[in-house]
Parts: sequence; structure tokens; C-alpha cells
Amino acid sequence: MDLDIEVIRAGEVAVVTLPAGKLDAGNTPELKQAMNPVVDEYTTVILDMSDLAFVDSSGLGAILSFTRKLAEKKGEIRLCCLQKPVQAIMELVRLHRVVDILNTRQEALKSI
Amino acid sequence: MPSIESRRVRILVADTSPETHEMLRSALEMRGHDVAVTNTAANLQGLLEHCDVGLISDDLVAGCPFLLARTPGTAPYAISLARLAVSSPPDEQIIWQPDDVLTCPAAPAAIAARIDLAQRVTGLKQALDERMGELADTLGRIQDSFLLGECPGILNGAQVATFAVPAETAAGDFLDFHQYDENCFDVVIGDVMGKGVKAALFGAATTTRFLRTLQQLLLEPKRYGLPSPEMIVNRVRGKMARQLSEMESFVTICYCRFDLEQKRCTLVDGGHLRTIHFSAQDASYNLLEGSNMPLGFSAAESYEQTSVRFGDGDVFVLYSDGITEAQNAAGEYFGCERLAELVASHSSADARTIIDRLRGAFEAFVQDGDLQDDVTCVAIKIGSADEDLLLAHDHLEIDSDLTKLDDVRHFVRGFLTRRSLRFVTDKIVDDVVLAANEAVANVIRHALASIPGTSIAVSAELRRHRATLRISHPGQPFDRGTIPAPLLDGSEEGGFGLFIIDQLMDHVRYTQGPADKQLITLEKQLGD
Repeated sequence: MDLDIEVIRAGEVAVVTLPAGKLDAGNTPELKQAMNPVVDEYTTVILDMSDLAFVDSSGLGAILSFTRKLAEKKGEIRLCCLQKPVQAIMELVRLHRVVDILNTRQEALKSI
Repeated sequence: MPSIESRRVRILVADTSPETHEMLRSALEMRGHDVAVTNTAANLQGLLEHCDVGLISDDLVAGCPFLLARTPGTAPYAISLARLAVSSPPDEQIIWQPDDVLTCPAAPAAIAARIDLAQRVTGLKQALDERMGELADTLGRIQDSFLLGECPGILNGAQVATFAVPAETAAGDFLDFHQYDENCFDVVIGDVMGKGVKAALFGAATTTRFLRTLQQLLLEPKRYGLPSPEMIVNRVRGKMARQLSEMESFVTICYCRFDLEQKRCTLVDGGHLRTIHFSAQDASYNLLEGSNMPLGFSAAESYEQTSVRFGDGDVFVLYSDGITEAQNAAGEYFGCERLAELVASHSSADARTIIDRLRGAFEAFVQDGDLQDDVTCVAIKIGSADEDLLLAHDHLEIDSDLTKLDDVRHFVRGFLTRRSLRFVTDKIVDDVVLAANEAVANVIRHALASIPGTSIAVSAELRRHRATLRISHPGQPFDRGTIPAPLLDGSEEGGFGLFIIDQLMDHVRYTQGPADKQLITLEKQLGD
């Protein structure tokens, strides 16, 4: 099953709105597949997670894999608009020390 | 009503006479029916089971116990073939109960008319059976949805447990609870006169009326404190007396309020059965009885409450006459005294155990007898709640498939939030949901990787101070000690699941469960 992501070009930056609902072991492979062309084409990616109510360790793994791929070509990733439970799991595995997490999309764009 | 369409009918002709076979076969096949014939009683029952209609001569019936024992209306439709000018001596006459009789020889039109009649009767009976099935289903739903309220949640110093067995045709018992806080709740138990749909609907209407009346009283301006039980019952009487009288029905009720701070039970008895109160201090029981009449007897009845004090260890049991008037094979009644003695002998147990014991004794008494009446019983055990008392439990079974993780999260969240308990905070719910998700994902991806589609069982338990999840699966055993903690510096993309579980839960165990299953136990301490 394909997973729809919305990609908006903001100059050299791709702003990706992740699908509503969940990012878990059941749909992470689809997200990786959908994100591959974005990660290949852009060096800077903002993930807008405002509609995402739940992320598990597989989802975290996917975000880390995007981070590494972008870092390999000197790019970077920003996360923004996290719901409380999603923010909590990011902090639990210290992801907030590895990836910049911003409150809003504007803050994320400004930070680049 | 469904239309009865003429259709091809499967007919068995069972007769020793070849002439009769020929006559019936030609008349029926001409009308497009399927006709089979036999001239022996051997395997007659087996042949009839594949037919819609049997045309059977009496001399073959004698060799078929199935036909001798049948009652009219039993499938398949049976027509007795009687012969003109042939009479059996009285001592050889076969007595059985066909649905119709056809005298042979008969004209083809007469034969066809009997089959048409058989079709109509069978069709009507089928339609009736379907309607009766729908009705029974509706009654069952009313019973489940409206007539049996959910037990109070957490109480400071009391436990409540119930058992209810609806009679095959609902008999109008109802039981409801109104909980105000952790120290005060009401129990309303009642029985509507009569049985079936009318009784069930009246029972549902009565519980709704009590709830609505209570809401109205609570919302009245200048009200200080809760409306008293007698105020509630009198207000309900005012609203329902006329309808009950017009419908020529009445409702026995007992409305009890338990105030756990004041240690007082206040009750209004409207012609219901005597409430059993076992006093731990006196080591004896009293049967609490009021003097009021049932709702619907008199519009002028003024309901009055009485009250009793209680102490730790006391037990109250309210019940319906489905218990006390149930009879055993010898025709003895179960009776109120037998019930009260049982309550006294199990009074040291918790409410759930008391109810289980009462139920066990009741079932042993009636054995396999049909229940003629609804059976409803509630036990209230006074005393500091056992801290380890099981408050709720539930169970989920899923296929080993990562797309089922949604179901696991939904199950766990629903289980923890359904009761709106203040010590189950949003953070606790989020933590347990995530840990359950991680544990089940690990089972699917690792322990059951080689056997997809296998079943995984998730059970949930809630106690006052902890929530426990048990995940059971038939996969590979797991040694937690073999997996190191993940590096949290961004250099690894996986291996976080176990770390997350350990961080979020207070106790995590990976053990061998029963029936060669692997068991993961996750425990979370609750607030307060």
C-alpha cells in the first residue's frame, strides 16, 4: 500500500507533511519508499509532523535513516510541529540531541 | 411479511404401492416438483431430511421412530397418505401426527393443492421463526444495553459485583447504579410484572426514568446535597404511575444508597424482595424490608426510606425473584433464607467471590432446569478494598501481522481510558500504549518471523496500583540479557524498542508461559 506524503518546494528545501495518524512498524517501509526520491533530490528536508499522533521505534528508525542519508551529502533535516506523545518518544531516545526539533514550520524554515 | 412464492419442492413419496407412486409422481412432476420414492421404512428418516415435504403411508410410519415421535410443525412437512376403502383393525392402527392427510386415490389438482398448502405453511412458519429470532435478539440487546447497568468504579471501602442470567424470554429485571463519587453510590434493582417485550421495554423505561429524574433533581436550583432516595422514588412514582396503570403493569423496586463516609445504607423498598444485610459485628444477617407498594399500584403511594448503619466486613445482597423462586428437580424453592445463609457463610470473601459462590450454589440447585425468570443479583461488600483486587480485565487476540499494531494500541488505550479513573493519567496511557506496541512489534518481527499469521494473545489487567499487560505467543524464547542497550548518538537506526519498553514500564519480564508459550509481562505503576 502506498503512503501519501505532501512535498512542497521552498527554494532548496523540501517541506514534507507526513500523513495523518501513525508511523509504526506497519507503515514505515511505505514511508521510506515515499521519502527516497525526496532524500535523493534535496539536501535539506523539513518534516512537518503536525498530523502524526503516534510514532514508534520503527518510525524513529526511519527518521534517523533520512538524517544519515542527508548527512552523507552534507544535508540536514528538521522536524517540526510534534504532538506531545511524539515529542515524548523523541526525547526518550535522545533524538532531540541529534535532530533539530522546532515548534512551527516557520521556525524550521528560519533555522536553515 | 415475505411473499410465499411457488417454487420447486423436493417431495418424498413413501408408500408400498407402485400405483400410488405412479399417481403421485405424475401429478407432482407435471407441476415441476422433484419427486423421490421409496417403498420401505429403511432409511426413511435419512431420505426425509433431504425433502421439503413427505407423503407417507401409515404402514411405513410404523417402522420409523422419527415419524412416530414427530409433532406437527416439525420439518419436513408430513402428509399422511390414507387409502379409501382400506381400514386397519383398531389394534394395528398407527397413531402419529402428520401436518395433513391426503386420501388416495386423489385427483392431480387435489394433490397439487395439498403441496401448495404445504409450501404456504412451511413459508409462513419460516417467516415466523425468523421474526421470533429477531425478537429474541432484540430482547437480548435490550437486556444487555438498558437493563443491566455497569458496576460502580473505584470506591473508598466497598466492592460491588453482580451476576445476571436473562430468561429465554426476557422477564423485565433491571439493575442500575448511580455513582456520585468514591464515597457514595445508589443501587436500583427492580422487576417489571410480566414477561417478554413489554416487560423488557418497561424495565428499560424505568431505569431511564430513574436516571432522568435524578438528573433533574441534581440540576434543581438551590439544591444542597444529593436528593434523598425517597425523594427520587416519589418523583419517579409521580411520572410513571399513570403509564403503569394504563398499561396494567407494576414494578417492584428497591432503591438503596450507600454512603461510605457516614457508613449508612438508606433504602426505599417498593414491594421488592427483602434485602439481605449480613453484619460482620453481629455475625448474623437481617432481612431489610419496607412497607411500600410497587410502583404502579397506587398514584397516591408515598414512599418512605429506612436506613441502617454498616461496618467493615458487612455484606448487602439485592436480588430478583428469579433466584428465590427457582425450583429444583424435587420442586423445592431456592428461597430467601437459603440465599441469606449462603451470604453469611461466604461473607469473609470479597464481593466477586461471594457472587461467584452464590451463582455456583444457585446453578447446582437448579441444575439443567430451564430458567423461567430473569436472575439478577448484586453483592456489596463493605470494607477497605483489597489493594490487589482486580478491577478490570480484557483480552485481545491478533494475527502476527504488523498491520495489526493499530488494533493493539486501540485495545490498550480503550482498556485504560474506558473507566475515566483519575489515577490512570494521559501520560500513563501513552506510555503503556507505546510499550505494548513495541513489545508486540518485536514479537512479530523477531519471535514469530518464521511463522507469520500465528496468533498473539494480549491480556490486560487493572488493579488499584498497577496495570499489567501479558503478551503470549508460540514463538522463539527471548533472553533479554543478550541484547545490549542501543547507542543514542544517532549512529544507529534500530534497537530502540526494548530500550523504550524498559524506560516506560516499571517491571518487564520475559518468561516461559503455560502451554509452551512465551510470555512478556509489562507492568506499570499507577498514580496516587
